[in-house]
Amino acid sequence: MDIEDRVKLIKMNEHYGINERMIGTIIDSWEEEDEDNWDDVNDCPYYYWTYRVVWDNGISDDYNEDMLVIYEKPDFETTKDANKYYKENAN
Amino acid sequence: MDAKERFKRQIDIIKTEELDFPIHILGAGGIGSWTAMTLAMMGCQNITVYDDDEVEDHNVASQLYKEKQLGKNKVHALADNVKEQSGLDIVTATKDAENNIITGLVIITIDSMESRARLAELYKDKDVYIIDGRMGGLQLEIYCYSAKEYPKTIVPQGEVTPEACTARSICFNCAVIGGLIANYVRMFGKKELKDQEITFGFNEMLLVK
Repeated sequence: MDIEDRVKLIKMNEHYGINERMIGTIIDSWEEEDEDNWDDVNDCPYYYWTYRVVWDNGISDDYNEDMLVIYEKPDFETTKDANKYYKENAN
Repeated sequence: MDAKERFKRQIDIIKTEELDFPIHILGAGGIGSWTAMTLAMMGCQNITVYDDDEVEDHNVASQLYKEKQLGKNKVHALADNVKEQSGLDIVTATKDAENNIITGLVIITIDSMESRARLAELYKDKDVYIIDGRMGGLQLEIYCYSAKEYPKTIVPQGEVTPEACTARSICFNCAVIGGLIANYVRMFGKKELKDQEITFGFNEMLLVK
């Protein structure tokens, strides 16, 4: 993912309890060392990417890559559009 | 939902396009629950509500929760009620997430001056505008200020006279303050809102300030 990619949150944010229906924009990214998980075979640190996102609802926070997907639907430009899509496609 | 049909009686008062900005409601209690519902009915689409509490029995008398929702997380119960009434999905968040707000309209509906002082410090350099609803028994106060000016409304905790637990909240006060805040949101959406504060007394039935 690149800076300025439009992304969707795909997992509940465990810390904040924010629901998955969030659309936003990546404004920064960096690689972090995972202090708890090392590669045992090669005895080297494991790294993961973190992304800083500004959500359309005015919140900004940092997320691991596995919590985000690139938001490709052309009609998903805003949270309002997302609400509309989810409502129309519920079940 | 056909927005043109739904909101045709209010388009000369406020258009839904004018309400398309992030709205953060801090607290889902007496003021927050009525405010969230009123804003959703008015056509606001981008509402996030922050609270960690669960619905208790005494909440049912003055807040927009149902008896069958006792014990349920307030923000989830409120999201269900708003969706049932208006069809809108609001975003729900825990209280901690208020630390990550960087832009939008922040509506403070909590009942602690100490927490207000913390929020004033938190938002003073952020791109947010603040509407703060305060309620005690038969009086309501609303403060509308930019984040930079908002700290001047904070009263030291020792100077606040607490209401007795048995005279703290009643449903009509919550309904009125939710409606008044919605009107301030309308003015904000039309870019007509200027910094101001009001105090209304229900015994006097007057704006006392």
